[in-house]
Amino acid sequence: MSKKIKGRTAEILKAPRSRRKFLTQSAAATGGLAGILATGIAPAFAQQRELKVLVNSHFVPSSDEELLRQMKEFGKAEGVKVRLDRVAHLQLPAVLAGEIQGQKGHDVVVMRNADANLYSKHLVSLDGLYEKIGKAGGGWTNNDFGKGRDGKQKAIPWFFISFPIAIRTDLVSEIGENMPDTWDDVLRIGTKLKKKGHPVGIQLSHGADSNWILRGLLWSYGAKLVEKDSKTVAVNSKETVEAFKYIKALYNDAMESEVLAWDDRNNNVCLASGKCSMILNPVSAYRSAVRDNALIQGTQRPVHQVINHIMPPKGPAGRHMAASHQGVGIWKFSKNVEVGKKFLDYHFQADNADKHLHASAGYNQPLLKTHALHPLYASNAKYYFAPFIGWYTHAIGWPGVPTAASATIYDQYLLPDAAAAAATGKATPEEAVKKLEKQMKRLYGRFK
Amino acid sequence: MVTATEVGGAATSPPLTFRSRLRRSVGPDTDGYFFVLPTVIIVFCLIIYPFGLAVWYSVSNAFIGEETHFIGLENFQYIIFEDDIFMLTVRNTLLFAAISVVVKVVLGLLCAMLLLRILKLRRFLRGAMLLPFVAPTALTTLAWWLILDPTYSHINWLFEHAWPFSLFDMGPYNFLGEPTLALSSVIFVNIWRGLPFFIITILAGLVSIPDHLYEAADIDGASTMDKFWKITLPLLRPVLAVIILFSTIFTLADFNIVYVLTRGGPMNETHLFATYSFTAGVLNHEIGLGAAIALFLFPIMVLTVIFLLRLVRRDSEYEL
Repeated sequence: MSKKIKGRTAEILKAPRSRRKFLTQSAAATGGLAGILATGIAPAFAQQRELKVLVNSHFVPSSDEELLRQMKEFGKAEGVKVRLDRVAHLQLPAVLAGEIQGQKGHDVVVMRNADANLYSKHLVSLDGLYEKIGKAGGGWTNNDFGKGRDGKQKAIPWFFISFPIAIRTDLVSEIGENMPDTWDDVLRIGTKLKKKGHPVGIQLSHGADSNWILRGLLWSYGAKLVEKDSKTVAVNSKETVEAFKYIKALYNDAMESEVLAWDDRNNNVCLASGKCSMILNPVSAYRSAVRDNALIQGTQRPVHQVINHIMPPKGPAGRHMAASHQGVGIWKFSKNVEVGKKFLDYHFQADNADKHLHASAGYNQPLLKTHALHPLYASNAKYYFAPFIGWYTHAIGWPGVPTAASATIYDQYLLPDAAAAAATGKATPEEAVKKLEKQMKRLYGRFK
Repeated sequence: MVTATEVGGAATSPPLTFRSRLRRSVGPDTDGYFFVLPTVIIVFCLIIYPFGLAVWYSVSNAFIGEETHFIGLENFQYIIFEDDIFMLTVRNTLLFAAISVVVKVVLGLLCAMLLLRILKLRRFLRGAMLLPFVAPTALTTLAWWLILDPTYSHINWLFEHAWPFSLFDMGPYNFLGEPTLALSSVIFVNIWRGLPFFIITILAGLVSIPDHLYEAADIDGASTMDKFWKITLPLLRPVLAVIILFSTIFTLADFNIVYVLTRGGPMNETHLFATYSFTAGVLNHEIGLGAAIALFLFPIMVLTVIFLLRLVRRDSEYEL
């Protein structure tokens, strides 16, 4: 303790205090504090607007850095403090749940998939802003995303994250095969490459990737979780059973059991380290390999040179893949709703949106039509798939729209669990599908 | 003349102050109640209120962000009769707690007796032994997660490349991806973390056993095993009962280890009450269901505590 503080403390202790005076002062201080806590409003001298934004940590960190830079720029111009908080994507549901239960937290929050529908009651309507941004950007590529249960726009579509096949072209050439175009090709090539120590890597676990890829696979087989009305559970079909039989074959012949314990990091590591022959993943796996300059084992050749991206595989019902659709919404309980809207307006201006896309190295695929054919994707042959993958890409809930029930099915990893049960033989494909239907009906029943 | 009022005195006596009335009703020492008031408030706010809320949630259809309605025992009915993950959770929790505690007691006893005999580096070894216990659980579990990583487990690497393991063609093992191995892994990490607590406490118990008992046993010709079974163990039983009590409570309610290592996977095969309750209630949004799952732990805990406390009480009634 410094001498000055020591002296002051002694002075305070020595000063004569009557009990009444002490109690009066304590009561005043407690009352003041209670007032601040009860109203949630700081005294005038301490009030300063602060815009708090919550996103999930980006797989390409420079994307978040650019977002923060824009926030600071905006804050400086508007005279508001800004704060960007990032949480691991698998922890995001817990954080959002906490904020809703407490009616306290951030102002602007990332809304993924069908979250805007799930948390509809707690988000402000952004209809005006949605129209304004959409008009300036040539319209939206998906008009169903971000809708609340009242039909209003509760989240501004931000970007989508697609799932092409990231593949080791050298390994495929070594076995004299062409690039896979169908799920059957994936199985055939994967089986051959697994024997050479290079399995296919598709998570059958509680990871987001698992949720996307398995939906895409089911859709390619003509199966669907729900009807177009977004209400009728339609998972129990012979198409789903066929898809599950395929997963079982792929798991046994072309993959290793480690996929049951993978999170969304493991497949990236598996490809970049040279072990996996192919994974279905956004460009982040490739970007990580570039960043780390990982070498093919026993050579001096960087692995990223032999990784390429190709379209997700076709099935009997065509080429379909799910994608993570990201949006941004503003909580109703926020005290900075107007500032939040202003910031979103600023962030979605063409110039800023462009910088954000560049910072993500193309990972953030635009949902605005003017950005869909962005020159960035022509700058690297490994991104050639990007402008076209949107044609085959759907949000969760397809062929219906993203709903609260579809968000719950997604968050509970019901599909990955069912697929894993069928793959490992814990249940037959038919049993796994039947159980999945039962679980889905319970949850869809809740939102009727 | 003396009036009746003056004789009786009751009519003229001044009215009782609040403090006097309070003293009459609760006894002379009223200050004690004021002193415990903060504790009562804290207990109410942090234990009784949340517990009451959990009970309410468990009989409701509470869902994150939605209106809540009373639904009776539907949640309990669902988890008991329809939810097979819950049954796995019950099995896992009981296995996890039983194996962990038994292994910790046995290894704790062995290590403590060894440490008692070690004279050189005694302080260093006792300090080092505590490291797993004092290091933050999340951090150490994260280290174990990397060691047991499904793709690049350090242990598998050792089995493959390091002599003498490389001679035996062991592995690779899918420590976190194969249900039995995954459950074994979380039990192992729990033992690794909790063992120091047992060692240090048992060591303290061993130190407090008077030497003259062993000297007398030596004179009577008792063997080492006789001394262990007839002196060491009986005198350690109160200490053992207390640490078993604490450890059982902590192990039954463990969350960090399972959540960091497996998040309840693969295929929900390693969930414990705490992780499954959190998953169902928070991550899956069904707070009502999560609360019902968590409440199942309560009777198990109460029964365990009653059983162990009885054991403690019985064992503390020994005479030297």
